[in-house]
Amino acid sequence: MRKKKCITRGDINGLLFALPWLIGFLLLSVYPLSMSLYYSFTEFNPVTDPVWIGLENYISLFKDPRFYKSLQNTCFYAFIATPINLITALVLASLISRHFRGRGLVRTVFFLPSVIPMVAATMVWIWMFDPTYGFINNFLKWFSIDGPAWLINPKTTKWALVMMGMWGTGTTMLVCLAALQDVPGSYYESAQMDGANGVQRFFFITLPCVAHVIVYQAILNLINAFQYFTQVYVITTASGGSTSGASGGPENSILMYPLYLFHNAFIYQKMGKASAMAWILMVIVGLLTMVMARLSDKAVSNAGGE
Amino acid sequence: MKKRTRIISGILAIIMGGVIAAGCKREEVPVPSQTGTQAPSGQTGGAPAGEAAPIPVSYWYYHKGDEAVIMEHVIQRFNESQTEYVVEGFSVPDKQKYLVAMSGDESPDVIELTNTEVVSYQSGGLLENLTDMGTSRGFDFEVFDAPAADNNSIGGQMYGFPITSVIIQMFYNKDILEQINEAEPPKTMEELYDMALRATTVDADGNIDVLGYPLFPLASARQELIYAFGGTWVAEDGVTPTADSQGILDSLRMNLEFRNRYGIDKVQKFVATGNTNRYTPQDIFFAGKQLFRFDGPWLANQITDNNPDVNFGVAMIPGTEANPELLGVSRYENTSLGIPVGAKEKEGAYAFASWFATEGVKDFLLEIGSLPANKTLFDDEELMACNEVFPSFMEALKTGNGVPSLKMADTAQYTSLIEEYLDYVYNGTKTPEDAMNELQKAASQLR
Amino acid sequence: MNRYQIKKYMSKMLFLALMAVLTVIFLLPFVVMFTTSFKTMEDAFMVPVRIWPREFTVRNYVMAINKIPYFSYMANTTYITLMSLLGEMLVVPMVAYSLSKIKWKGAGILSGLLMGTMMLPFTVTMIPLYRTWHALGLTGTYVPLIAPHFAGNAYYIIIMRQFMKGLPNSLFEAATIDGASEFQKYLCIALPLCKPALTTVGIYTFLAAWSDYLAPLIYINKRDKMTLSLGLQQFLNEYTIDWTQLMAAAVIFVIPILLLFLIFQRNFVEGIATAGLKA
Repeated sequence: MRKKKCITRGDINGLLFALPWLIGFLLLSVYPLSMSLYYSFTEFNPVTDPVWIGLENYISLFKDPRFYKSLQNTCFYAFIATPINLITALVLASLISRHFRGRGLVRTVFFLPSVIPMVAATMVWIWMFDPTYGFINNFLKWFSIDGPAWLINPKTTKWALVMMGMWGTGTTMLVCLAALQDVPGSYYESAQMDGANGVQRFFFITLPCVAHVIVYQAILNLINAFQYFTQVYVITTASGGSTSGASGGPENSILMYPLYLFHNAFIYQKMGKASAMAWILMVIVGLLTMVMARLSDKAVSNAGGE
Repeated sequence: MKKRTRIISGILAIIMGGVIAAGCKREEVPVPSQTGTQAPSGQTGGAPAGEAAPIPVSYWYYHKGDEAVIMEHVIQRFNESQTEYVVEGFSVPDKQKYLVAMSGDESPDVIELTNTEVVSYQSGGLLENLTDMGTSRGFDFEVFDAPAADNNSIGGQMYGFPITSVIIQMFYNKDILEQINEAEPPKTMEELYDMALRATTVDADGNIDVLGYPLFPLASARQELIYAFGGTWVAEDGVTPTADSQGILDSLRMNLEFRNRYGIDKVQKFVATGNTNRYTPQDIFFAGKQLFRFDGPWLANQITDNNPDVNFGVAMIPGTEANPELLGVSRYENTSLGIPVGAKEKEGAYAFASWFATEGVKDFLLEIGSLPANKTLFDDEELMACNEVFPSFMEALKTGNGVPSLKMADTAQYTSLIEEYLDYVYNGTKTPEDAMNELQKAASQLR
Repeated sequence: MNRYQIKKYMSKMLFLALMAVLTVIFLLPFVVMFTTSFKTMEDAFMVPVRIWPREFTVRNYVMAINKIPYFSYMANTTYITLMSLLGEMLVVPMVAYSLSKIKWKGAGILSGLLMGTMMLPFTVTMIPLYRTWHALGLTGTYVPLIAPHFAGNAYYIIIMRQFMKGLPNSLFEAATIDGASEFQKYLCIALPLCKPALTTVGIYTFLAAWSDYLAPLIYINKRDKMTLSLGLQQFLNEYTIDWTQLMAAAVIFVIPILLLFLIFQRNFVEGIATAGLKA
């Protein structure tokens, strides 16, 4: 009883050390977060004052086909592209976890895309995706494949994003690599003695040992997927065909949720609706993180680790 | 397990904090709106009016690069023409910044506007009423071409001074026309389609070499090809959507017929590449790979700059057999100048905007190569001489077949919907009827 | 035996070939960017496409640097990046220290909050933050871009916390017995030992600030205050895109960061690896 009430020296010190972040948290997270919740029940543009309209923003969103479309596109990126990126990262990592000459160089090359600014990388990719002058289709031509108009054909736009994502998966790859190298070599030796083949070793030793790392990376990547913006913003502004200034690519096939939010806020000037979208996103990401965190606990306990 | 509890507690804390704070923070009113139209002119400088230092007037325009330089010339000429104000120009290409900056104390005094922005900013109460400002200062509104004035007016009140007009007409490649044994450009869309089929060529893989039908640039394909069939996106009032009208469907059917004949994916690829090298020396029209090109007068400048060899002509966009009177039909758009309600220096802003729209505009048009919105310049010989296609374009301007821009408060949303649904048709995802019915339904939700 | 050796040799060769192909694929965008930046427009639009320019030209670079005030954008970007770096370097280890080496009641809750803010989408706070900065008259300045870094990024704090947890407690206990204050312990023991983690956080911050796009897009509204990532966007003209110039601009945008990467490569790689494993 007594202990709980009294404030120790440690409490004061701890608070003092954490103060900058706490202040930042209140001003840069709690306050805007609560304001945006309030805004989501109002209607305003950047210059007018919010007018309370109750649930109208939410109702109009739930009736808005484009809201679902953007959610669907983002879900595609989150649940199809993100796993593909993770697998790519894992495969690349396991390739360079072997010892061979030039390994350092290869690792550098795989990681390189992650350090260059997204805007620059995206522009280069747009150029590479051109059906006539781009390298992708010219490369495919060697194999007599007639490549599509990647960024104009609504069936291929998302896959273009997937390719860009796979190319830029270096950070995740490095983490996977480190995790792989952390697996004690003795495990493999004893497994080899038991006669396990490569595939078995991968599934029964490697995977359980790195599971917690992968799940954690999956969570991070998933959160990022729901905030995927810069690439599609650059692609849609570069395509130049739109007169509305609010393009989401052909048939809005790459209208990601944050991009639609951005359109609502700054092009359609519906800040209230945009705030409602932001809160829905917030809830989705929160729920997903919880589910993933639960999975993570399970994965770790299954692996018998920690 | 521990991690999870922490996460949950974090989320709960955030949400609770949010709810509590939302309850308290309702009264927050950070934005000073309306400062009143009668802003005293000395406000910014603090210096006494009279022969003191000129009062600064900020002007934001969205031109960048070389065009920004031309805009700076205009500003310079204005600053030299009088001593009371000094305009400072800023090239601000990002449109969303205008909106966010207009909120009060950072608002520029004058901004460049598109027609869409006139409507949307006005509906947000962001623009000064120029009819009021101009009338009390003796401005002659008659100088503006009627559709241009209309584009900048809402409820009979003007919110923008139009500076330039944009219309689109038909460029054609004379050599290709000759190859298919035609001496004259088409007079109807049916004729145009027939010529397009004869002019389109494909290689062994079925990839298009020469495109006959004017499917590029994308924006023209979305607008002028529709207008030529008498289709319009809204009724005469400028606000009632008419996406399922007959003219639109007729246009889309012909469009789709062409696409299906050569393969939708082949057309996509040709158009994609056309888009990548648009207005470069390898532009499909400059390179002789396009028979008809619906484009603006700037195309002629681009041809001169990039490839003087292409043998081209200009004609008015034809109507259909059923509607031959639509000859010369086109979108009719302006760039205009507006004064935000949050402007600090409104007198100076008006002085600059009204000078630019009248006295200053001709030099600007000559330099940037745009068509006038100011009627008094329609027969101006210097202007006619500055671009070889201007005479044809001025003729088209005079037909009065220009289609004014949309007036809906949600114009940007409607335009964006149109783009999406036309994509469905062009890509063969939906039939024209289905797509346009759905579009009409979606559009009827808009304001 | 012999056959086994051949098989092994073959598989090794196959593996190396695979690595070579992958390396080429991953490098391709860089190569394209680099070579296109030296091409004339004609070369860039040649069919069939050739990687190497027929004639090398530096004209694109000259044009690109003239088109945007490259050096002043570079200075702006550097300034923002350095200030952000300063902020994170000051705050992140402090907060991490509080969460890992000080026993206090709030530590648990704070860690939960940290996780919470990490998943907070930028878009949620974007609009209210804009209005707040605006009400303070700070839009158009670098304050909205820099200030958040002086509160510490949650992810970096978590990385740092995990690292500090690994420091032996005995060190700190000994210092306490010697009468060191909490701040002395932090400054003289924790900080010097945290160098690897600090480097990691520094690199992360640098990359993020250097490439940031959305925040400058929203807050910077004057041409002379723009950053490089916004400057690059100026090449996407409404009418036309000069691809060769754009590539030249991209190259000079990317070069500083590539150099930095090559110099600090080891720290990059190790930092990211440890951060990913420990967080």
